[in-house]
Amino acid sequence: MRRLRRTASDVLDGKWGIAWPLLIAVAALAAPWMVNQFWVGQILLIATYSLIVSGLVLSFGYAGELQFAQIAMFAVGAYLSGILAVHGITDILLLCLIAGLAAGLVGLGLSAIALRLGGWGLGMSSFFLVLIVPDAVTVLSRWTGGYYGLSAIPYPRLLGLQLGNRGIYLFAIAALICWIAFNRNVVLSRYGGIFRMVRESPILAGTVGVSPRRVKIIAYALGAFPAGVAGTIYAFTYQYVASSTFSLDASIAIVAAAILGGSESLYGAVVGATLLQLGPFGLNSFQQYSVLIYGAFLVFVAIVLRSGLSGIGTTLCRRAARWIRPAPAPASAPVLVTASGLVLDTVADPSPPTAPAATAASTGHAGAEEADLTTPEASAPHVLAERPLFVDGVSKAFGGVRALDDVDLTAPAGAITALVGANGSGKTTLLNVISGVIVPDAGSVRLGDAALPLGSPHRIARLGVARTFQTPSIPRGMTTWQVAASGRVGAARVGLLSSGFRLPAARRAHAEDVESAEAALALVGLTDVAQAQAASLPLGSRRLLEVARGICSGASLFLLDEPASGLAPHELDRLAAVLRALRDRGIAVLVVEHNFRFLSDIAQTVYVLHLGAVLARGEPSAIAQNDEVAASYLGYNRKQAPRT
Amino acid sequence: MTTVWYGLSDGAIYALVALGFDIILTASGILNFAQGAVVMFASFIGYQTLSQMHLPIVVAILICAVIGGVIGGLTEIIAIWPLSLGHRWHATHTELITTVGVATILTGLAGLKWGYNPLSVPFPGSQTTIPLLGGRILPLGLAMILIAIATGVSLHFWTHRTRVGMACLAASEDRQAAALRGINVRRLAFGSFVAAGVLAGVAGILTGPITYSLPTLGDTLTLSGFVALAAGGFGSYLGSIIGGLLTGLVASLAARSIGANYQQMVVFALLLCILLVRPSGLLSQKELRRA
Repeated sequence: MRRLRRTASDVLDGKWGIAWPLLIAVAALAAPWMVNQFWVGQILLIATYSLIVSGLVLSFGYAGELQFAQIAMFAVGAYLSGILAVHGITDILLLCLIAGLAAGLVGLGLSAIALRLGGWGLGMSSFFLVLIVPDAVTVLSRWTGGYYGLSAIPYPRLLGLQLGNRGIYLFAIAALICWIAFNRNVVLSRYGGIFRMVRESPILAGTVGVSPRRVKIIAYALGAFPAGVAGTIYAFTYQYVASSTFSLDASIAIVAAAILGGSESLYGAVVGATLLQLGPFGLNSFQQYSVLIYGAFLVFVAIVLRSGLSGIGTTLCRRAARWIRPAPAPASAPVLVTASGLVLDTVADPSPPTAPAATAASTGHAGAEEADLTTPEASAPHVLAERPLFVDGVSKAFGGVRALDDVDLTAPAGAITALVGANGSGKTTLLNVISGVIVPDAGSVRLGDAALPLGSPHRIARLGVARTFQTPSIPRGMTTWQVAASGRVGAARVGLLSSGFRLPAARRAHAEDVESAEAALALVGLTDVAQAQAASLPLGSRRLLEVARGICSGASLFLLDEPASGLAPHELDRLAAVLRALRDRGIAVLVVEHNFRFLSDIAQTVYVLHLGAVLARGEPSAIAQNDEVAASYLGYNRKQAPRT
Repeated sequence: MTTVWYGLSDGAIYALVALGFDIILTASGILNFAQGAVVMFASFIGYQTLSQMHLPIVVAILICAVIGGVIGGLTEIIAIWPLSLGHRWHATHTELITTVGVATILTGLAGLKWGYNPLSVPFPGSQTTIPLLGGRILPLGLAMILIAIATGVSLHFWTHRTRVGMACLAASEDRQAAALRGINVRRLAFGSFVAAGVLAGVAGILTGPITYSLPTLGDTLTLSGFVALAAGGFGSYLGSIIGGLLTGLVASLAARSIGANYQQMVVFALLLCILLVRPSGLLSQKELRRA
C-alpha cells in the first residue's frame, strides 16, 4: 500500500517524466483498431492542429516572439503539397520535408525583416501575412484552383508504399511524436536556456555570446516547420484544399490554443489543440458565438492563466503528489546531472523544491567554507594567453551629459584593476561600452591584439569578454548549474539541429557543460545548490553565480559591476579568493566597486572616474591618500575636514 | 486623378486609425490592436442610428463618440491594467494578445448583431461627387482628408504645448521617471484609451459610408493603420497623417493598375519595404523629441 502510494505520488510529481505522453502516444497509434471512424478522424485533426500549435512553443513560448502566421505556414504547406501531388509527386515524406522547409523559409524571410522593428513588428506583420493568404490563392488560381479550391489530390505513397486513410493517420501521429521529441530535446538542451535568456534579457544573452535577433529568427523559422508538415497531412487527409480554411479567425484560434494549453509546455499544444477541436466551440463551427468566445479566451487566459492549462495541471499534480506521498522520505543529497544528461524530465519545472534549497545555500555556506577555500588554487588547470585590455580615448554623451570624456584605461592580464568614482561618474557606462551594450561616440577598445567590435555584445563576448551586472541577471526557470553552464554557449557552440537530434556533438558539449559548470560552481562555493532554481537564490549567491557563469565562458577579460555590494562577510572572502584565482590564471579583471577596503586588498591599480573623466590612477594606498579623490568621492576637502 | 482622390480618402481613414495608435503609444507605450475594431464597431453604430433609428447626424456622431470612448476605457480596465499586476510575463507581447482578444470580441459582437454581409451606411451630406483638380471626389471623402489632417496637426501641437501633452511625452520616454515626477501614469494611460476610443468612434461613423460596414473591416483597418504608423514613425502624429495618406494612395493605385486582388499584397510589401529600409519611419520618434 505504502509502495503503491509512493509510486502514484511519483507519477503525479512528474518523476516518471515521459510515461504519460508515451502512454497517450501508444493509445493514439492503436486508435484505428479500437475506436470508430469518426473518432479516428477527430484524432487525426487534433494531431494536425497540434503540429501547428506546437510550432509556437519555440517561437512564442520560449523565444517570446508572438506571431499569428502559423496558419499562413499551414496554407503554404497544404497548397504546395497539394499542387505537387496533383502533378505526380506523392511521396508523403518528401512532401512533408518540402512543405516544412518552404514554411520555414517564409518564416525566415518574414522574421528577418519584421524583427527589425522589435516588439510588435513580427506580431503585426505575421497577422498581415494571414490576411493576404486568400488574395494570394486567388492570384495564383491557375495552380491553387482559386475560389473553387484545389481538388482531386491523390493518395500519398511512403517509400513506394501506397498509403490509405489509416496509413495517413499513422503517419500523422508518428510525425507529431517525432516533432514533440525533437522539441523536447531542444528545450532540454542548452537551447532552452538560450531561448529563456533571449526572452528575459537580450542584454544578458548578448554578453554570453548569443545574438538575440539571430536566435529569434531561428526559433521562428523552426516553429514554422511543423505547420508546413501539418499542411501536407491536411491536404492528403481531405484530398482537397480551400482558402477558407486559412482565415484570420483560425489564426486567432491557434494562438488561443497555444496560450490555453500553456505556451511554454511541450504537451500543452496537444491539450490546446484537443480543446480547439472537441470543445463546445470547435474550429468547424466558426461563425456565431465561437469568435466571441475565442476573443474572451485570449483576454482571460493571457491575464489569469499565465502558464496555461498544463501549467495548472502540473501544479495540481504536484500538490496531489505531496498529499499522497506516505512519509517524508530522507532527502537525498543533490546530485549534478550525469554526463548523459537525461535526468531533467519535466520542462516546466526541472528542479527540486526551491525554498529549502535556497535556505540550505545560506546556512550551508559557513560549513563549506573552510573545505572549499583551498580549491581555487587546486583547480586552476590552465593559464590563458595573456590579453590585456586597452581603452583608448572613449567618449560618450547622453544628450548634454558627458558620461565618458576621453577615457584611457589599461587593465593588464593577470592583474585586478579597480574602477571607482561617485555615482554617475561613468563607471557602468564604461563597462557597457567595453561589453558592447553602448556604442561610444569616439574612441576604441582593444583586447590583446584584437579591436573589439563595439556595439555588438555577442561578438565581443565570443572574443573572450565576460561580465556581471549590478543587479544580477539570472533568468527564471533555470537551475544554478544551467545558469553557470550558459556561460559556455558563445564560446563552445552547438547547432540547434544537433541538439534537437541529440547528435554526438551535442552530447559531448553537454558533458563538457556539466563538467565546466561543476568546476566553476565548486570554485565559487555553490555546489550545494547546483540543482536549485537559480533565480530564487539569495543575492550574494546570485552574484557569485554570475562570476561562475563568466568562468565557464573561459573569458580572458572579466568585467564585474559592483560584485561586492550586498555580500555577507564570508561571501566577500569567497569573492576575493575567486578573483585572485582568476588573476592567477592570467585573466584581466576589471572591477567597478564602492567597497574600497575590499578593493585595497585585491586590486593592483585603481582608476578614479570623476564626471566621466579619469581623475587619478595609482596603487590603492596612493589613491586613498589623494586629496582630489577625497574631494570628488567623499564630497569634502580634506584640508577643511570636519573637526571631530 | 479620381483614383488618387479615392486613395487619399481611404488613406485618411488609415491615418485616423494610426493617430489612435499614436495617442495610446505616446501615453502608455502600448500598441492597441483593437483600434481598427472600434472604428468598425462604430461604423455599425452609425448604420444603426442613421439607417434604422433615423437620428440626426450630430446625435449619431455623439453616440458613436461616447460608445467609442466607453469601449476604449473598458479595454484599458479589462485588458491592459490587470497586466501590470503581478510580474510581467512576456514583457512586450501580453498586451498584444489581450488587445487582439478585445478586437476579436468586437468582431464577434458585430457579426452576431449585424451579420457578415456588407451594410451600406447612409451618407451624411451630398451623394454626388464633385470635380476637384481633374478628378472627382465625394464631399465626405474630402471632409475625411481634412479631418485627418486637422486632427493630426492639432494633436501634434497639443502634445507640445500643453501640460498634459508634455506629460504624455514624458511618460513615453520613461514611465518610471514620469511617475516619480508626479505624473499619474495610470490615469494618463486610461485617458489615452478613452481619447483614442472617441477618435475611433467619430472616425467609424464617417468611415461607414465610404467603405460599407463589415465585421472583418476591423482587422484590415488595424493592419493598414499599422502600416501608416510604421511609415510615419511610431508616436509621430504628423508622420501618421503622411503615412496614412501614402498607404491609401499606394493601395488605391495598386488596385487600379494591377488588380484588386493585389491591393493587400502591395500594402504588405510596402510594410516590408519600410521595415527593411527605414524601420524608424519617415518622421521618427527622434525628430518628434527634438521638436
